Amino acid sequence: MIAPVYGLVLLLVGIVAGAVGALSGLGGGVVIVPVLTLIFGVPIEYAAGTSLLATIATSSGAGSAYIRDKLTNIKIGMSLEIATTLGAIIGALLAAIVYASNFPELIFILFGIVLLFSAIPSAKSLFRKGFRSSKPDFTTGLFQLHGSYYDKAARARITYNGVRWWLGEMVMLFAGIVSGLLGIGSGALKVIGMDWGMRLPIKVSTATSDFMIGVTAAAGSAVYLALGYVQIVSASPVIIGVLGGAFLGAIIMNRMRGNRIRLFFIMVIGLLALEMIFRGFGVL
Amino acid sequence: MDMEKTIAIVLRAGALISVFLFAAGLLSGANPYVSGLFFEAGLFVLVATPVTRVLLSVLMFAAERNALYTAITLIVLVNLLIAIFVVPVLMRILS
Repeated sequence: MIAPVYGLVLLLVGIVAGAVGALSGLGGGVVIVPVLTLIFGVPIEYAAGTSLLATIATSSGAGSAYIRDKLTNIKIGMSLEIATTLGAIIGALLAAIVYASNFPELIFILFGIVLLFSAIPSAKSLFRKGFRSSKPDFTTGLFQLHGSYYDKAARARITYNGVRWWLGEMVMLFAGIVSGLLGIGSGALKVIGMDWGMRLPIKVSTATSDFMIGVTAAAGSAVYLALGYVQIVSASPVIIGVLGGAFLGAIIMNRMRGNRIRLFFIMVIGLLALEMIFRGFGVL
Repeated sequence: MDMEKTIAIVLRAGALISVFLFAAGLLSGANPYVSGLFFEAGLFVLVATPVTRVLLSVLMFAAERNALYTAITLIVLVNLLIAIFVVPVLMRILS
């Protein structure tokens, strides 16, 4: 059993996390993990377990909405999932080793710093005017990385070419490792891989990241479920709320300006980075 | 069959069904056995949804005779199954 008021509060946490997750392509773990650990005193591994399950729900919910809006590039998403799933396996195995040792804090600090750095390219491109499609390179043709979508905010059809598939794949391997190691969807790194690495429009990057994180989180969640780090009764209202929030966020996203999404995304990344660093120093 | 439409429907259905199961589990909290069954079923549907999505794309790329993407999605499927069924066992051995 769960107290009704506590359940409703968890539901609300889920709704906010779902909307933030859908808008940023992150999956909501950024909101869920700090709120559950800081305010509700949930142990971090249980918060991460809940966050991973909620990430699957966000991905399925927002993912389906973006596919309908034709924002998601399924081929690009699927081809990059080779690296994210492989990375998730490596990350999960690394987690087992790290948690068996006595210094998991160092890993959190390191990743916080890496995340802060990874916000720089997105911050830079805030000052880039509009979206200009890159010239196709060798991988564009080979992996069929082109597409187009109708942008409701700009009221125009945007045609794009994905380039540097190998760079996207490398960022995704890293994103997968982070996901398996820390129990988050690591959508932030996925957006970076596509936006900065493969030069895709920000909306396509965000939508495709939302599409991908479900598969990455499913890969990671199995480990948390097997180790018993899921308290399903308190996780349920969060997951329910996240799906509602994800649908809401998906409706808002296509009506927003690309730059606003980017700014929002940078803020979320900064928050995530600080959270990791604080957690590493034992403040969280 | 329209690949994008089918995948969108599968994702949405999976998310909604799992959420309804979780809600049913919460509402039947007075009976631990029944609510436990709902939670188990909800978890199964939740995790199975992305796996089904990958499996579907393997079949659809194969039907389109897109050899490269059939291979790519097949690798993703194998990775996912390893992550779900093999890695937890390995982790228990390691930890």
